[in-house]
Amino acid sequence: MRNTSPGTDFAGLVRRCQQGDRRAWDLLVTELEPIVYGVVRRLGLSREDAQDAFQDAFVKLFASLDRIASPAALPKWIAVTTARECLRLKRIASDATTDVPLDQLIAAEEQAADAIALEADQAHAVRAALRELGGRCADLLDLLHRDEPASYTEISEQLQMPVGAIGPTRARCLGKLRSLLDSRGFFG
Amino acid sequence: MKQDHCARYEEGLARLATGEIDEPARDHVAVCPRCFQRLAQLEQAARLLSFGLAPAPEAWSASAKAIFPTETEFVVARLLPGIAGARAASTSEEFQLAFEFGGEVLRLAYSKTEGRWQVRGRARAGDAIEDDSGHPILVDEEGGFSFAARSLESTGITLRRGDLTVAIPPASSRDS
Repeated sequence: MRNTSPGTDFAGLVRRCQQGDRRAWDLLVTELEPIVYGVVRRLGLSREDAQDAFQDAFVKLFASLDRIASPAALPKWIAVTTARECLRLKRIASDATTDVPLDQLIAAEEQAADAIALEADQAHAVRAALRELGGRCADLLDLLHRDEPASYTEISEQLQMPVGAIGPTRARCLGKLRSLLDSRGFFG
Repeated sequence: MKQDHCARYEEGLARLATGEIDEPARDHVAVCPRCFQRLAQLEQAARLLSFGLAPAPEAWSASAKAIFPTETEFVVARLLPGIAGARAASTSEEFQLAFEFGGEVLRLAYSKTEGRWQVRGRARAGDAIEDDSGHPILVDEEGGFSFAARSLESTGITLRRGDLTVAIPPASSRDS
């Protein structure tokens, strides 16, 4: 699967960060924080641990700025880094004792982290494609796929769209999104 | 020809992917591998849209942005000549100097007591001040501060205010 985030020039942002451009770092954080936050929330940490894991991900990113070979892979990298830290914190916080050797636990954590990171990276790519799609389609799909999706009545008011048109429009927009993702090689 | 036939089910496939019922599309998917694959892709896109990539709380975001070192501006405060000239009217062991930086004036009072120089001034609450050895000087809630120095040469201080770092030269520089 290819990275389908055409809107973000990660290489450019990393280069500007390396040159000391604070604004570029702000943009990098803004672009990547939904991924980190999404992973952190998905793994159900306490609020304190979640915040620690969130901060840790960006500390590691900052420390690695001079060594990033593939900036386009940053979403995946930060998702894996975050997931591993979350799972480590969960293991430490857990009172449960186990007979499983530590190296096996860590191997299982890494496997789980990779799976979550892959999903987060793909979700980021889908969101980027949605931004590219733009217009009412982007607004409608965003409203319908939030943590707490908007009701059809709320969407009708917000987007000035008859309630009866929401379902068919949603279907058409999802179809457009699929086509765009397909044209970018998202589905392999 | 076959693709034209499939095209009529596109909307139905998207409805199926979002959990709605569309019997003609469902029947078609059962016999069309291409549309079966499309349905899987639509379901994947819908599932990934719901992954929950929301912006983080503002405070979390701000602390992540703060990791990047702030570019600090460094200035050397300028001794105001008029005030420095007033020193002539004061005693050699008690006088005041005023330093200007960024349109602000910082007044410092120097007095010699038992062989040591006492320096008093008023900055802004929240300013961080260090003596010439890098030791922090306590700034009270109203910005007042004071410290002792062994000689006039060691009365220089560094004031930090946000992104601004100001070097206040020692009182001995008034003669140069």
